[in-house]
Amino acid sequence: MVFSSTVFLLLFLPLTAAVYFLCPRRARNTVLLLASLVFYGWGEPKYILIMLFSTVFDYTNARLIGHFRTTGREKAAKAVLIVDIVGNLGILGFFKYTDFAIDNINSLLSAGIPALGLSLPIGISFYTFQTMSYTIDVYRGIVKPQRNILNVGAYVTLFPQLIAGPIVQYKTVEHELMFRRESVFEASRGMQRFVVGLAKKVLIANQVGALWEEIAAMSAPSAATAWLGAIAFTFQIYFDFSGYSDMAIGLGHLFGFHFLENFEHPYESRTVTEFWRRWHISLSTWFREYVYIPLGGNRHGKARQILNLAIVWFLTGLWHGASWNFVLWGMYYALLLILEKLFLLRWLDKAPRFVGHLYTILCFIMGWVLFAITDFSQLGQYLSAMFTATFADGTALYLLRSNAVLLVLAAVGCTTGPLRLWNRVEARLSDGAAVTLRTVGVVVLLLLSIAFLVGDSYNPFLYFRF
Amino acid sequence: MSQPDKGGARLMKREHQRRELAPLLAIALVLVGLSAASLLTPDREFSPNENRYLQQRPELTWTTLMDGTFTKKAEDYTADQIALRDMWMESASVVQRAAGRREVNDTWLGRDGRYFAKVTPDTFDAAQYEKNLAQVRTFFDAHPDKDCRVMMVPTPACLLRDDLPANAPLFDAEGCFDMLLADFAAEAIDLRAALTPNAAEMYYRTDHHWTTQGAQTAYGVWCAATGHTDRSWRLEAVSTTFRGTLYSKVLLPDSPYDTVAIAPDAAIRSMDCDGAVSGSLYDMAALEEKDHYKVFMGGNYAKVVIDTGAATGKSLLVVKDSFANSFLPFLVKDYDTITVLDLRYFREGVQPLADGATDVLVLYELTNFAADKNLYKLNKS
Repeated sequence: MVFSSTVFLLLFLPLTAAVYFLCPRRARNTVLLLASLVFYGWGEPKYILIMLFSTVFDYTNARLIGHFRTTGREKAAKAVLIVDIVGNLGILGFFKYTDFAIDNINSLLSAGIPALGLSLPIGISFYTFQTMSYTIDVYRGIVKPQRNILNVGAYVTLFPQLIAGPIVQYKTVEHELMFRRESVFEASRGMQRFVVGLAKKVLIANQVGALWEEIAAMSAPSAATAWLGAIAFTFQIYFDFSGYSDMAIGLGHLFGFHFLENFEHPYESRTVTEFWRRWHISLSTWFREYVYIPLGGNRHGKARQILNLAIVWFLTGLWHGASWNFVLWGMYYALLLILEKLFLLRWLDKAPRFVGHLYTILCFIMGWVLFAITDFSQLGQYLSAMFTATFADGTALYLLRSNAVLLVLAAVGCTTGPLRLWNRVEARLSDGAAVTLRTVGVVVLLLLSIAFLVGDSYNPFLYFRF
Repeated sequence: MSQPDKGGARLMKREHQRRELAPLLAIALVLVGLSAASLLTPDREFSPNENRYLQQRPELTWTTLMDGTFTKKAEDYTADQIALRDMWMESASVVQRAAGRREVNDTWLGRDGRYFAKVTPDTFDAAQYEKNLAQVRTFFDAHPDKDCRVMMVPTPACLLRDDLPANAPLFDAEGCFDMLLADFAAEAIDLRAALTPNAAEMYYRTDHHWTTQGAQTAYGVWCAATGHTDRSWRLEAVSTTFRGTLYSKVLLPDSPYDTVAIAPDAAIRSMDCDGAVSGSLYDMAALEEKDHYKVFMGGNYAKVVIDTGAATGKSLLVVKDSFANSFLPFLVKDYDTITVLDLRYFREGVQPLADGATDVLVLYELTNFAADKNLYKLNKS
């Protein structure tokens, strides 16, 4: 199930919320667990089994590690941790990368091994990372092993962030899993955030997404059209993904959870380093805590740090999809980040602000082109259209004019501008007037989103298969 | 003013928090209200606006649950049976137009409420167009003894370019006509010059078809090309409230209405549409429904045989799309029988029917022709 569907908005959400708040506190994690299993199994019921297996597997491993810890058997604890990591990565690898590996072996050795053709369990890249963070943190002694398996189940399957993040680490919700307090205030703020996220997804991401798809399908776009397409995808992926995170965080608030922020207006960054501190924060944090720092981070000299960065970004790229273009995309960022560490950051610091913005914008737009087009020959064609085709034609003008309002909304919407403006307006209004204005605003956004959902056949979901 | 004491501050905070109830209630009211309204209003079976059957309440069984068909249908069901479905879709269109969008749902929003199917250089299948021309060529070559003609109706957008949104990337229709004329010379009936002067009257504004006036103008060109007498048929409006297929895609509430006319004097003896026999080329009952263009021959059938009652000694085989439906009434005095094939539905051999005819007419609108993958049936033995 996805949030941006009538079945979620009109049936699943009202029913789940009603049952959840009618139940006594001690039953609420069970309600969340069951609702999450329905939510997850909606697309492919059989993959509920993987979910249940993950829950039991990580619950047991964490308990074992805790047990060995208290009895002082460090080696056994480490062995269980290794089993857990191998198990989790095994599931992820099997479902996500087997066919990719077979494909590569076939083309290298002409082996002709048939592909498995497995459909990827939704959100597997997200929840395997979440469950690993739990067991690793138990091993590190940061959190205690959870005694109630229903709590682990609720954590693993928690539907708000189940299929597209943010990657919620166990330690950030451990307390709330057991002792959270829901409130009208939090629920209200959460649902308002949810509506804003829904509007970002339905009113902007889907619309610029259609523009990108149209341009990507063109056989000979002009340079201006190709750039417009790249910009459209740049907006699509931001509004799609950050909108999803808003919806997830908002729903978390509804049920009394506080997930960490996942996006901090990344397109306003002045360096690529800053961009990656503000884009998909939960993933970068995960890789920093569980890969980069264990590898030694920056503590063993420049050369080792560069190697570590390269490893992390190779894996980050591969995590985004089983295809070489994602690896290329990861290595592209590794290169940029290394260059920035070596000298670019110092240069950019001295340069006027707009230079940093311009440089960063160009970097991430080019990055999204590498990301968006999985086929290398198509990628080459698209890049050559961006840089060598005729500058502009009627089609570019037409698309620009037809989408002008949308593009301006998207450009303004991905900055902190609207938030700053709202804060200034709110400061001048009385409390009651501000709430009234906000109520009208979210209702309008909600009604518009429903209208576009009903009327729109185009409702793809970018991070669905990650 | 004195500082509020601690209790006062707590009270203000509680007041502040209480106010947040309003947006939560408003959101809940929209979702629950819409949900209840959708469940309480009776389900619709068919959406005339969208011209399709809507998803009905799916049956939940173990099999349908496990193979995913239940959940898929349940999603379609909630979307299709949502209360005020048409209102939501209209609103989305209105907002898009207000935001300066020049197209909605693959339909260009032209001048004066005129809509155009969006066909771009990338969506027009030039390769299929060439293949189809070759099929017609082969078919004509196999019948050198007959008067064979191909009438390619210009796509409305090609003749009404000025009514399109500025710079709309229309496919290259001129190139298509060049190709047609190169392959067929005089066998091709070129309507462009005749339809251009009053192009706005030749096509509906809200439907992708040509008007009866457009079809009659084409009839004049056909008469001149084939040596028939133009009988100047009298036209009579039978509907002034027609909103066609392009309206269905756009659903803008302020869309104009089109007028549908027929040639009331085009009488025949009988018409056999895939076995259903009637005495008129016009199906007046269609005017009670949404698609008034169906008044022409009652829509599309695999094979229609028209017994005109004329005594000319000539018979015509027509291979066509729906544009022919409003054109054929003009020919009823020129042939004894007219056999009409729609290759999308026709599954038998074409050859025996061709053998029985003195003349052949292939009549398609250009983009329909290029999109049709059934022309191979012409030469299938």
